[in-house]
Amino acid sequence: MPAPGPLSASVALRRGGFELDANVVVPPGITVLLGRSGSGKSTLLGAVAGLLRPDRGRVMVGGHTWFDGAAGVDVPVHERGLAFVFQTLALFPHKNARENVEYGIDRALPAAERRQRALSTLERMRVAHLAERRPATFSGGEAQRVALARAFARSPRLVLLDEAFSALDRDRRRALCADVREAVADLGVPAIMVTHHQREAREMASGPSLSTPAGCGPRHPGGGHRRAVGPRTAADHDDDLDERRSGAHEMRRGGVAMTRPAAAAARPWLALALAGCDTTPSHSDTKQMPRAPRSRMRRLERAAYRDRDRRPAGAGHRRSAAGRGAAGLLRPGSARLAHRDVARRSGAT
Amino acid sequence: MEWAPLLLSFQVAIIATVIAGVLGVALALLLTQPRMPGRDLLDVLVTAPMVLPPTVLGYYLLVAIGRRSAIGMAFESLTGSSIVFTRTGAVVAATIGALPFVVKNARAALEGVDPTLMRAARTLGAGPARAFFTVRLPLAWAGIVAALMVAFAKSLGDFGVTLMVAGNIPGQTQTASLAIYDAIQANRERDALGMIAVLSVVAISLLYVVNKLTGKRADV
Repeated sequence: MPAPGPLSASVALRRGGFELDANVVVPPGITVLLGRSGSGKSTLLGAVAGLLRPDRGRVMVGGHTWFDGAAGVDVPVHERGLAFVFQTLALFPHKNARENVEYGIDRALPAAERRQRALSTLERMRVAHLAERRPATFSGGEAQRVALARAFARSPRLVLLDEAFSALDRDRRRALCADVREAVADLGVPAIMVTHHQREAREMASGPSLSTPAGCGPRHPGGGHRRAVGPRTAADHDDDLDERRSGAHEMRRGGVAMTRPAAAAARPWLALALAGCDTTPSHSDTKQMPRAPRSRMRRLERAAYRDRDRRPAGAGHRRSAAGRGAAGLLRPGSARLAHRDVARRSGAT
Repeated sequence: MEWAPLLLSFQVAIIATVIAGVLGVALALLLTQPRMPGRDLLDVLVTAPMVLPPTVLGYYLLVAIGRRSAIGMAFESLTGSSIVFTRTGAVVAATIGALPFVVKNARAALEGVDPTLMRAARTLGAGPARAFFTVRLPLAWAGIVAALMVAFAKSLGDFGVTLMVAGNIPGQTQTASLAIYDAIQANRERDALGMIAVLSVVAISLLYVVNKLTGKRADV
């Protein structure tokens, strides 16, 4: 059985022109990592998981050292006892749902017990009826639930969700979020959910079934106005943005800055915003679209944001203010659209 | 019609396919490693038998495994017979001819497996070997079986290299394709027709199955 404990990671790595230097402490419960595409979210997950080797740093989970650059410790991925849900889900197409889930369960256990655990986890994720079917026949939502069951069934010490909900519509995502929150709370381990989608981050962090997982720090450290439980409003959401700008501690080096909101410890989640790569000169990804002058970019970003997310009129000024400063505001889809617009226009002149 | 050359051809082809299969999949796996030193050189060396003239390839093999070569002498001291101008030589010739087909197709099949699935297997507690045997190999299986079938068809009909390395000794190293040549040369066309028919049917059916197999893979 895993000893539940926080994840504490400080990793630095450089790949080509991209540089990541992150320092996070994640308590048990779900932490949402919000940021634009290309801002290094997945890289951070990969470095924590051991899929990428950091240049230096340290990764510790529940008292186990997984990586320590200075001491030369680098536990292989398969011995780390973690669960990773990939954006593409990566279900094994040649195995049925039950076999997929069994694959990750400790092989020291008797086959019957592994089977039993696989089935009960599938049931818990409400996909027991798929047990003997192969992934090719699953719908998007079903595949997502099976992938999550596969992750949770192995009693991991750490859960990493890389854009695992992007393919779902809003209602399904909400339902799934509730189940995931509950499963993570039961495991009592830290979980990082990466998303570039602000609404998704909010959903994961809110909702009527929000509960405080064990060992999650004080809930109202001064920020008394904040409701920790219950549906959150647009105003709450904008508060978050303000909060992010005045982040309690900000780590910035190289291409990526991470900001941890002041009231992070106040809730069973915390939003970490990664500054978008678009505005960071040291990130030189050659695959990027041509850039526009910054002011023009901002106008386009704001427009894209407005189109995407209609809100009560009163919140308008805040929204555009946020658009200027904080990261992770845009769905990359719309950001990319904006880029393309610019490219076309500048091409015409 | 003579059965002996056909029988010999099938024996040689089966053994050659097994050897080329194991060796070829291992080489293919090696070639999929992005950081392997000398990868491009190995790739060219393994593929060379496809483009070299059979006589040239045969000459190199004679030099490499002939009675006066290190390999040839070692083999002879161990088994008492030489490699060249025996059935062993025919097997070597067929193996070398089939190897590039196995490597090329097996490599494509292995590289066709989504690398995220391998990563997923690793995060689920599988070491590199388990991940290979339980995820990558099964998913590449159809492609590898297709590779082996092509290799079998290829080694069944090898002519030039076999002639150079194993000779054309009736009842000893005379495979079906060599026997067909002899029969045609000697105006014994009737003797050849049976073998021609068998080889044609086998090769064409194999090709048909291969296309089915690889076509199915593409759909998944």
